[in-house]
Amino acid sequence: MYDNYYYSVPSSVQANFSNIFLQFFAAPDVFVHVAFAVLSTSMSIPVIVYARRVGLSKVVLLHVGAMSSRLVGFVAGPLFIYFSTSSINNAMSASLSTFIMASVFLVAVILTFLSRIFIVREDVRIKFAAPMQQSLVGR
Amino acid sequence: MEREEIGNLGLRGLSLTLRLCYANFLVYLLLYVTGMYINIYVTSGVNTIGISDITNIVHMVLAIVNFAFTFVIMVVGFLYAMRKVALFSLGAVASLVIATVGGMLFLSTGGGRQSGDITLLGGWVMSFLFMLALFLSYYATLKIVRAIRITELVKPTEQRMT
Repeated sequence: MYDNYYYSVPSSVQANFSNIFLQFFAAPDVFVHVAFAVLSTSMSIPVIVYARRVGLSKVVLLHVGAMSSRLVGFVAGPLFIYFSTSSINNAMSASLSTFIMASVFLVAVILTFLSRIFIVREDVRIKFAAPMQQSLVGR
Repeated sequence: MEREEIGNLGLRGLSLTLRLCYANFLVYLLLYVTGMYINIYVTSGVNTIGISDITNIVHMVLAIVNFAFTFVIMVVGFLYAMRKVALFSLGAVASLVIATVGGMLFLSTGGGRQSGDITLLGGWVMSFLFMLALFLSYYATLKIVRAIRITELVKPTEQRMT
């Protein structure tokens, strides 16, 4: 067992795709972690659809960026398990994979945050600019 | 319009506060990266870290800067009638204070994840409240963005009407 992180990869895990994939369902904490990662990535899809509909291109781009960032995390996560298996046992690469996973998480969070700023700006424009123009026209 | 909080800081002051918020997010990012670096490369779950370790000093200096920026934003919110900005920032400040206590607990009880349950608890408190502070600062920033946008839209229209 490579006991280096909050999650320890069991020594029975083999360094192949099916074993690593099945590991996502083996431990409840890993399953919950992956489920939330999938959920937060997929939640960008309706945002992209709605943002495209109202023409908020920056919001679309930022959410595409956030999804891409999360996809990098989906590669780094299994790589962490792969490098932590007893047959590979590469601590440096396992650490690097974890660091990448952690970094892309915060990049995705920041990109999602930035998208909300553009949504707020548009929301204010719709609420204030249109009624004011109407009142000016009325005068 | 009555329910919107634009405060009495003015557009220039709001823009400066927004820049401070963005600078604060950069500090949050650096704080996270240094924390992750310590977590993954320095302690790795088995090693310990002391208060005088260089990576820890960098992390603590960033935490102080982060606290100072968040505190200034909170004071601006209170002084210039932006209640939501003030309250969100106050929550962030409180979170950062408790997170610092968690960090100190982590260092003083061993400085490694395998140093015991209290050390681990300190680590969890630190990371959880960091994220909470980040979210609260973000909502304060959104309120400032909203106030700036409203001020930008209302001022020219008022001038045209007069």
